[in-house]
Amino acid sequence: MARKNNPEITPPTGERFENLVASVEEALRALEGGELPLEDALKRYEEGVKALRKCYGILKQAEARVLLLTEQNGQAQTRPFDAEGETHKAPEENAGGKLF
Amino acid sequence: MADSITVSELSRQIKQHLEPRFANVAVTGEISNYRGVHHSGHVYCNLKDDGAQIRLIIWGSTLSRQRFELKDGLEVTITGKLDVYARRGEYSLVATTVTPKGTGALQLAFQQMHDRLQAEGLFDAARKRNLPQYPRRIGVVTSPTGAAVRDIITTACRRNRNVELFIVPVKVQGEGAALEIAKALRWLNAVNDHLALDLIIAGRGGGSLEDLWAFNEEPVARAIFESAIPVISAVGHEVDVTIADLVADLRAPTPTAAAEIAVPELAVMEEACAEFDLRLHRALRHTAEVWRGRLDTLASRLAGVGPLNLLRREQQRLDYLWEGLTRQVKHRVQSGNELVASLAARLEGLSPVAVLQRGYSITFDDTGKVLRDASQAKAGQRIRTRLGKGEFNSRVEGPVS
Repeated sequence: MARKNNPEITPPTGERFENLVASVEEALRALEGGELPLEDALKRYEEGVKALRKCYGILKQAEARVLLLTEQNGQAQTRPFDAEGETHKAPEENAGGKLF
Repeated sequence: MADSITVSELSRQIKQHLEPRFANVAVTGEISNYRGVHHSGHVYCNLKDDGAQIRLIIWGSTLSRQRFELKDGLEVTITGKLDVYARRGEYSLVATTVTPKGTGALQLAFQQMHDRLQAEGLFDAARKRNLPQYPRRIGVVTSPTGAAVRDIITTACRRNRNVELFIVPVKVQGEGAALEIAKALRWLNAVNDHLALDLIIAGRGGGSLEDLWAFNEEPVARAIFESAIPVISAVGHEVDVTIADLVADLRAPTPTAAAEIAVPELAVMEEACAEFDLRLHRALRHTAEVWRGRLDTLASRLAGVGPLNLLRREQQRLDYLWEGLTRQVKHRVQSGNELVASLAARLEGLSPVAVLQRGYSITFDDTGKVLRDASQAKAGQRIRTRLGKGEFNSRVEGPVS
């Protein structure tokens, strides 16, 4: 089979939520720590707000995805996973043994 | 004297008499003289008690059905038959089944492997990895049918829409299940540069001890141990603890619980963000207030010492900060930014106009230049003075001596 791109499996893009949270926390530590010059405080604030805005962006992101992941000729393959559909198949059809 | 018979004939008769008589026996005794599995794949040892012993043969085919290991001193019940080996004048018990006495066979196998893997450090708390707090993509190694996969999907999606589940279908019970699970775990690790999984959930729903057994087998334990991706185990019900649970970075009591542990609730994330939002504003406001206090102090101390120059510098500084704040106001994240607005209003209170209102004034010469030094003013020169409210013109009489 031709090696075909599987766009479903491209790694998630954008910054990780935990990293953004860490940026916000860092800005907060500096700001709440007390005696920043006002210019620096504004800069920190701006950084914090920027990271926080990205956090909100992530929270607004789209739908959850559930995919069936199998190996085919050493390649990872995916297709949408439908729990009901799987359940209604004959056991031989969905025996994991064929996939692994 | 009877007619003599040959040794072979005697042996044949003994065999004929004994073997049918003991064709199906159950014998309890202790394994002794165990020397491991012979290279032929069979086991030759003895079964003994205080008063006697008998040779015991366990064929490889029987052995492969046993999950526990034999060893000297192990008390077992053997079912099988007697076998007379005429060539050597020996009789032996040939086992059809071997059952450890007391604890069940599975229990014993569990205990034995448990002890071995524990000694190797597979269960060490120190090697358990932290789970990612906000996983984006989770691998789920389980049967694609059955309740477990549905529970995980339902729970994960209910908590957070912002997650991707990759279901990796495997056999979770019966012959070969353990190897499949282990293989899937290894494969996920091998291709994870591509997949970018943050976490794996491996498990199945409840069942009998035998049903769950794959998760007690060594290949699964080792695959979990070797996984670079953190693994949550979720096998059976609350009460079931498998070897996989002990090796995993975290044991979830059920598949549903695994999804709850793995996937943070969106509402909780939103709350965290809202709190950050508030704290950021509050901290900035606090900083600005501290500064306002300082400037006030400064302004009053400057009252007597050529304040205009300094006031002008402060004016520039405030203009700069004011710009910054205006930018902030434009960039506000969410509601609740009234804080910034009020902060802006308070900073405005520090502007030179407000300073003038506290009683300071600025004096300009006839060209509109600010006068900063008394020597700049010559007698007879017209000057203009700006007060907190309004301006007036006057004429210089001369320096104050």
